[in-house]
Amino acid sequence: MARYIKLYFTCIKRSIITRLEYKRDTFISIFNFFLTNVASILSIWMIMESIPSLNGWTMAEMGFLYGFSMLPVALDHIFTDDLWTVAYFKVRNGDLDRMFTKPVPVLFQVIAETFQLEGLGELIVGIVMLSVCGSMVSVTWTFGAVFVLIIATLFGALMITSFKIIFASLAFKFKRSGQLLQVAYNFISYTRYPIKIYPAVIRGLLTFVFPFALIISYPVEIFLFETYSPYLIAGVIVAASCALFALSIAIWTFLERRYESTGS
Amino acid sequence: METLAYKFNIFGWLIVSALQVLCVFFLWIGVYRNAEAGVDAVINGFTLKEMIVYMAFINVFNFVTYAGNTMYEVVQDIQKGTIAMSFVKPISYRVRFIFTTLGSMFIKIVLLGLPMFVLLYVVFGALGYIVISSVWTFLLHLLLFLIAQLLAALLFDCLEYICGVLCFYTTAAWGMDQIKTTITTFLSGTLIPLSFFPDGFKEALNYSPFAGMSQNPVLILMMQNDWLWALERIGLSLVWLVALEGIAWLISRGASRKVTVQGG
Repeated sequence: MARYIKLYFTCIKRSIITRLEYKRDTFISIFNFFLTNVASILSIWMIMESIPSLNGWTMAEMGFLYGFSMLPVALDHIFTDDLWTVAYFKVRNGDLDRMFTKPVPVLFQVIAETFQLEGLGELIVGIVMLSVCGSMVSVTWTFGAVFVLIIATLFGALMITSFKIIFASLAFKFKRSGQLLQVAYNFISYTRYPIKIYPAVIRGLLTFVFPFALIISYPVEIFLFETYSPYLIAGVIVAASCALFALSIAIWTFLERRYESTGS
Repeated sequence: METLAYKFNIFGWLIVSALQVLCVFFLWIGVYRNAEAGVDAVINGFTLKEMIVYMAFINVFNFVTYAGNTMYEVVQDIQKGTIAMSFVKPISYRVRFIFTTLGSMFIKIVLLGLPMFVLLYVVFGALGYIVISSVWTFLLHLLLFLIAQLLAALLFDCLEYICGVLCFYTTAAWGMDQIKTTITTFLSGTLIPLSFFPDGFKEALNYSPFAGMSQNPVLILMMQNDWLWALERIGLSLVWLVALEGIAWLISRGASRKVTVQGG
């Protein structure tokens, strides 16, 4: 275990050094992160502008929800960004083969491959949005609510990572699963609207199938309306994300054993 | 053939995307419920029925428009050094991609575009979401739509090519790809119709090449405006296509003078 921790930090250091070497690339990545969030926030704003309010939610509350959703997304982004490249290219162009020759689990190598500095920026913007929008609406910063915030951030990131592992590992079998991972990941964006505007089917979909509502929508409602018991929601988040993580590891291991190189 | 080789990707993508389109529908139903005039409201020129038709069509046709893989191929050629081969081949590098893209577009139309189009048209027609006033108007708009759709695919392919060639200058292909996707989905009216944008932006965007990539073909098909408007939009797309191909030619000429193959 100690060996892995040491190895991880060595890899991360190398990754950061590489990133700093290619300054233009890093700039493009940061710009991209910025653009993606601006586009999402502007879309929400333009929709909100065309109606008086969304199920009683104001733009400030929507901003709070958005900021909240950025925290687990950012955390996952910082640590596991390389799973995207597995899904999109690494299996297909044979880059992954080299990882099978090393005496460390492939998944570990993939995770240790990158440390996305710009994810830190995302985290900071998320926290700023939370505090600014939080001060504009009547948010109750109780101990329970903050506890849920921390649990939702940490275990929410684990849940997002689990989804990425599951869909990235499909690339072992089907060579390319990037677009599939992308659409699955996109479900996060639907939790950036109040979940009550959806009918039961969609709410069920976002709670049980792509359970991103668990880590975003329900915790936010605790902050804004004190609707649920924070400890119940925290417990559900921990249980669901740990179960998903175990499942994702099982799927990854299963498909990894059946991996055939594309030979290119 | 590339497209066919990854069929699973397509079908998995299809199922998850269908769920996502469902989310979009209910999101808009939620939005219209909150409008001052209720579900019968006309928001920025769209009734709820029109919005649902718009969102359904734009998702189907985006699948066809964004069929190609040009940017990925160009970047691969640059990074693996195989681009050198293309200079000795008797066919233009750019023209080869146009035909590859048209090929995969054709496959996607046969596999998915056409069946989905017929299905959606019948379903929406039966529900009364689409009203056909006269057969001739319909046929005329269908013809104009096909032209606009072809231009949309060519415009997007050109953009992909330009972004690919720009990777001669920066090695951040991944970031470039993401930025390209973010900008096109936002500015082409895929996230929300361009009429939701603030005054000034709206008009400017309607004259940008992005509008021709997604929004305009769908609006032509929906027969919201008369055929003269459609013809004007097609003309605009044509002008943009010529301009973009010119830019593509210029930058690829510049780039071919300073090819730096990364190791090969």
